Amino acid sequence: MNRLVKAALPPAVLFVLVIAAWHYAVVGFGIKAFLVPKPSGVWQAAVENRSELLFAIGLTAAAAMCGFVSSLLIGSLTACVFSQSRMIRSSCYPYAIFLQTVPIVAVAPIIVVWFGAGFHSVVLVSFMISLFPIVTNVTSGMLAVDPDLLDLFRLYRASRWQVLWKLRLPHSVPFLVAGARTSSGMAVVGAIVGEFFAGNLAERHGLGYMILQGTQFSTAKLFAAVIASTLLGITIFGASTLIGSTVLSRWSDPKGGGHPGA
Amino acid sequence: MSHEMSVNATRVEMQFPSGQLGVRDVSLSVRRGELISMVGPSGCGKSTLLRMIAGLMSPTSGELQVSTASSPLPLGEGGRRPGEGRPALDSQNKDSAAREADSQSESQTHRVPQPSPLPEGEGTAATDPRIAFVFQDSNLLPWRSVFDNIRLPLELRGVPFGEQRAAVESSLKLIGLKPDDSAKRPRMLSGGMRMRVSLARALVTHPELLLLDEPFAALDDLLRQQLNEELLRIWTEQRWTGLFVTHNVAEAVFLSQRVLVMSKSPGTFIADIAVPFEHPRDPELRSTPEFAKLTGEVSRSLREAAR
Repeated sequence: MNRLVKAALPPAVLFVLVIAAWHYAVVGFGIKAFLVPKPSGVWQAAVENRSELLFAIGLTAAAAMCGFVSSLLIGSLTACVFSQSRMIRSSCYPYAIFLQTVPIVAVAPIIVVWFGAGFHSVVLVSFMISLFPIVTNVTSGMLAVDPDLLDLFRLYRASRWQVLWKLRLPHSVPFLVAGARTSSGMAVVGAIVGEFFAGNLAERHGLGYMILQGTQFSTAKLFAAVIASTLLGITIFGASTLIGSTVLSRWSDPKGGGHPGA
Repeated sequence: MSHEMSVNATRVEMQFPSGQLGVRDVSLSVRRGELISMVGPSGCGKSTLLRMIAGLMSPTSGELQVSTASSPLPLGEGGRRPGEGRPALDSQNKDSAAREADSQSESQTHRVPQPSPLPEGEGTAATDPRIAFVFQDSNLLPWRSVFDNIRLPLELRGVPFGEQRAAVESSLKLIGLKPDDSAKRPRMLSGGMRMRVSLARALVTHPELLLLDEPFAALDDLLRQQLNEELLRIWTEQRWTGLFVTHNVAEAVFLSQRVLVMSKSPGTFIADIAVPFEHPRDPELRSTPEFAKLTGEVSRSLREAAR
């Protein structure tokens, strides 16, 4: 308890100081509210638009989660395929890395052109940006299996399927967890960027659309949406880190019970 | 006796894809139920030879046979090609009883004309189900409990779970592990315990030929001696054929009936030293002058090998 207070106190003090500095800077320098609103103004905007804001957070979170979860599944599946054939790997893997460097902001409009605006396109953008960390991490996890362990499986005449299911896949779990941590943060970024381009037709909209709108109508609302996006990102990142460390401790600890892939 | 398997190697050579020679002109004859140690300088090819016998590598030339007198277990697809039946007997093997047993036996031959690229791991099955291998590292799966690690070979062969459980329990008892240990993960175990689990996993299939690649190299001396005694006790009970690779001369002499000394790389056998002590062997054997004399002889031979 005492330790918790000690850990939480310094960032809390800094938070108060920053808010205070923000407030007095705006007031002291007479900065216009449409440039930088006061902290109280942001809070007021958030409260006034609370139903819109809460709905937007929910929608963006849903899009990010859909994108993230599908990237976990499709990414792991892709890694399984990569682990099975050196030919597939050597021809596809360079593109997996190349695609990772393509700026998602540049791809999002193409997705809208192809698939139209709407929730599905937002999910697609989020999925695309969060996919590659999973693919590269899980693939390297599957290939990093100790050669002696492969020999052990060969010695007992394990089938290709058994090697994948009972050795490569469980071995790549820590790599998947590391990839998922990166990916979860990126999924939120992807969802918001996706909403910039694909979310603007929807009457019920997410945080990305609120941010765009805010630039035109209310800076305070813009700030509220930006802060909400940040909090959403932190929450999803924190949740996936927590789930990841739970999975990891079950993976190699005695109390955990079952193990993946058996 | 079912736990009987013999090994015959004639002028076996292993050349790696890099062109480097792993072993050269190795001839070896292991009789059924014999426990043999192999010593030699680091990197001389002892492990390579062991891996070839296990079927994990193929010799680039020469002949390597693993034969058995018992009824053959189902080999499945891609098993070793049935050999020409008659194993080539080495000059070292003058035991006519063994020869007779060999001639009735079913045997398999590796005869590979050109270097075959080492496969990536999946889908290869040149290995014999009657062979077990104990690796230098305990080589356990960290995400599996002790129980699940030991049952792995049976699981991979599709043995029903009930039979797996019974076999694991008897294997645990044999190797001196408590039933409470079976739920633990390898991470929670000491190095000596991990090696016991690794041995239990190798013995759970009731192998006829046990290949051990420096299994106790990472353990301290006391632990190593304890495990030597355990291993010898199990061998005395079960009498499988054993090939034990080690760096430790005392261990080699204490365990085996013969010590083979390999030259430095590319290795070939330069000495075959008989160890005449009777079984079961007493731990105190290590303090006798006869033991010291034999270890001295092996060490001398090893020094020559390194030259």
